[in-house]
Amino acid sequence: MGMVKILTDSCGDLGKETREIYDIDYCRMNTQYDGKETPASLDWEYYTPKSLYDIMRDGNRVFTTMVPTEEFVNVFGKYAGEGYDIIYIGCSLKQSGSVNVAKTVAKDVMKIYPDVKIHCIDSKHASTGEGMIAIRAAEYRDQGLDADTIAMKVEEDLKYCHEFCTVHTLDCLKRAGRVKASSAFFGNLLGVKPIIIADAEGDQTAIKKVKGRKAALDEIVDLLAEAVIDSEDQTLFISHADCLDEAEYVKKQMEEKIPCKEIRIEYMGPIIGSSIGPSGMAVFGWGKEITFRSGDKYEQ
Amino acid sequence: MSSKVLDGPMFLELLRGGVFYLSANCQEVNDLNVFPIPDGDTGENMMRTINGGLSYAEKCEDDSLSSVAQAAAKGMILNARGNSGVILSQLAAGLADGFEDCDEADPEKIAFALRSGVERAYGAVMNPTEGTMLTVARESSEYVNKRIGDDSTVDSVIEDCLQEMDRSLQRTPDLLDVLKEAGVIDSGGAGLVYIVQGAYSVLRGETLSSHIGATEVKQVDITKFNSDSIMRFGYCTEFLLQLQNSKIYIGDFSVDKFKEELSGFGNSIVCFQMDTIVKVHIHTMNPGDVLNHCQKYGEFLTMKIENMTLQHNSSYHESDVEEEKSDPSEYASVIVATGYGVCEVMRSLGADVIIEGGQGNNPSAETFLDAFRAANAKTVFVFPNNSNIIMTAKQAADLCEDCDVRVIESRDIGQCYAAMTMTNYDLTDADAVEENFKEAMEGVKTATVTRSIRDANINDINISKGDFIGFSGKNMLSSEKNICDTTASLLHKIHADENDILILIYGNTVEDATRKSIVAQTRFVYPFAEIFEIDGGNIDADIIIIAE
Repeated sequence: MGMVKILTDSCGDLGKETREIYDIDYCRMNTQYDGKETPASLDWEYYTPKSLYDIMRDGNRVFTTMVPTEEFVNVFGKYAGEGYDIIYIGCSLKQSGSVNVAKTVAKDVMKIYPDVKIHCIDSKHASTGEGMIAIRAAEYRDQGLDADTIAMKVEEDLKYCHEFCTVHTLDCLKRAGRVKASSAFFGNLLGVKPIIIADAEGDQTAIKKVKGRKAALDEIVDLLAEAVIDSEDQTLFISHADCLDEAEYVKKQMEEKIPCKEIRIEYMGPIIGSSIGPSGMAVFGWGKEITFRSGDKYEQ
Repeated sequence: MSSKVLDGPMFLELLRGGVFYLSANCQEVNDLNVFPIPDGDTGENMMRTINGGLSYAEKCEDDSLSSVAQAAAKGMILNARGNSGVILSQLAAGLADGFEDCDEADPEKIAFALRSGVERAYGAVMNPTEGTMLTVARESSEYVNKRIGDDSTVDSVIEDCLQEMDRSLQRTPDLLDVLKEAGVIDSGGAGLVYIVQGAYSVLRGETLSSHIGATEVKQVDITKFNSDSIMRFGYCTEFLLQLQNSKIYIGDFSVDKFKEELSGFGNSIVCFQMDTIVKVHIHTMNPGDVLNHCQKYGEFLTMKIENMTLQHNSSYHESDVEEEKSDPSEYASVIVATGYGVCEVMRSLGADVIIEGGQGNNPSAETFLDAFRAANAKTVFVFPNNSNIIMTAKQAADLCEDCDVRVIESRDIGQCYAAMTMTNYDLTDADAVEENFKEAMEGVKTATVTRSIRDANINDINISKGDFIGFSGKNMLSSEKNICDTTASLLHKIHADENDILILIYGNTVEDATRKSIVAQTRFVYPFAEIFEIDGGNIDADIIIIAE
């Protein structure tokens, strides 16, 4: 049986340590600012989180690109050349067209390496939710499953991955066209914090408003606690956009409210950061099937 | 010229025309933005995509149509940016597929290739949305295929294509609600039309620079900017500058450096050069300064200057009128408020109708009735925001037969803020919405700082005329000689340390320096609170504090 390489992309928000533990690589998207295009490194090789967020705090917009064709050609080509089958877990197609590009490139690469299998999977998630699905794939690989089986199982599993996210305002996300929400979530919210989930279609959808940042941080923990199943066996994740202190607070709340194996804190990378703006905070875990779609009435 | 076949070199010319024309109109495509701020990027994305195609096509050594089209498609696919860019590149790729193995193409083949482009573009998008550039491409391709006949020429095909594209583009808002709400046509579709327009003008042998003239001045209602209006948005200024040998050595002219110079005058700058003509687009408060500067380099060929505040006010009014005519919405809110800034904030929080009024200026029931009618909803929620106004509101509600009016008994602007920020019209019925408003109001604290107009002793607090006083509801809480101390003491008395959100609404009596020191001291004492400052305007108080 062939070796399997698990890949995600710059939206996957898995830090170097986590990627090493699970042996996961990623394909780079780009950020664009002031006419300059820079690879979006999850390890912040090219600029610091602070310098990125300072640009946004000054009211400027940082643009992002999907994974360029060339990057897929290089990364897929490299691993295929080494004899790996490839599972690419990509950012939700509702947020990025990368998976579609990947599928086109995969066809070409498989022509060159007819024995190699490449699966490109729309994770329907972003940030560490996407990363967590890649980790699930890596765990299957480590159990000795082959690429086809892993792809099939992951496609099913991703329906059970929960994200609860809060931001100071939706303006960044709205401007980037990355969120679905009714007009009540926009404009001058004066301290009201939206709660966002990845819905069944892979849309980032605002589901409710909470007053004040602390209440919002508590709320995402409570919502996760309600959603998770068999938390004792799980590693839960937190991802944050340059607000580690608050992430530590969230971790403490989770430790109190949700029994689990481990809680890991990840940095939101440049792509998610550029879309969500400074101070985004999200928590992730496995739970019941997600059926909510944007436009549905959210039942508490 | 009226050609029967399209060959490689001609395809390249048409492509060049498309790039040129799109670049000339790039900003306009950007501005077709559903989000009402100047940050759209569709034009830019499409421009960079098609430009990538052009540079590949120009490098193509074989001049068969098939090769040139393939090169262009490849360049676009590699340079595609944004969804519109990706779709454009797929259209080009499908077009190239359609020309496979062709040295040249007759009109029938062109029509076939157009169809092939549309099919490929639809295939590349997971959930094709109608009312976008996909629709514009599809409908025009269908039209071309229907009209194709023995006497068709390359010109007639492109002309048919362009005409139907234009019609299709105008229909996009009917297919896509977000466009209709924003009052715009689809930006990607518009980009596509510009590209084909460019190609068409090449066919007609027009010189391209004749197309980059200033666009028509939009019709606006000039009564929307009067002697009291405030210039908020500046002037959209566009012109063609003919560089002049008599003024500069044109060979040394650098458009990048020129653009950098312009950045000192305003923003949204778009600037490019064709031969000795420079097109400039800039949003500026002082168009005169821009013109004086630019005239150092040459003379103006055409020019357009529009008052963007006037445009904004005009469109604002139009949408109001439209709303009145439309069917009643499910829910609306009517709010009583004082002060320009407070009204603005309430509007931004979703207030549908605002009645100017408050302490000493209580609105009548008739005013309320007019407001209920203007709200035009099946259920209207009313926020009186003053204990003296609640009764009037209730009376008006009894009188109103057009709709279900529910008075939310808010006693101050703080309660109104607390309720409005948590507005949720997605709940099951009007009872639930009302209950949600009432719950949200609980626990919010509102306090006021103002100046005493007489000596008094209230709550064991000695007050001299002219002192500042701080109170919440009917509770006198503090009094000091200066406004900063009064505010600090008032915040302490209302236990602001229990709150995460502190909103300071300043009256126009409070000077900037005072505002700065008040917010600084508040930040220092309450480091964990999120503090918002609002320029309230004429609010009948010096400061209103909302703590939640």
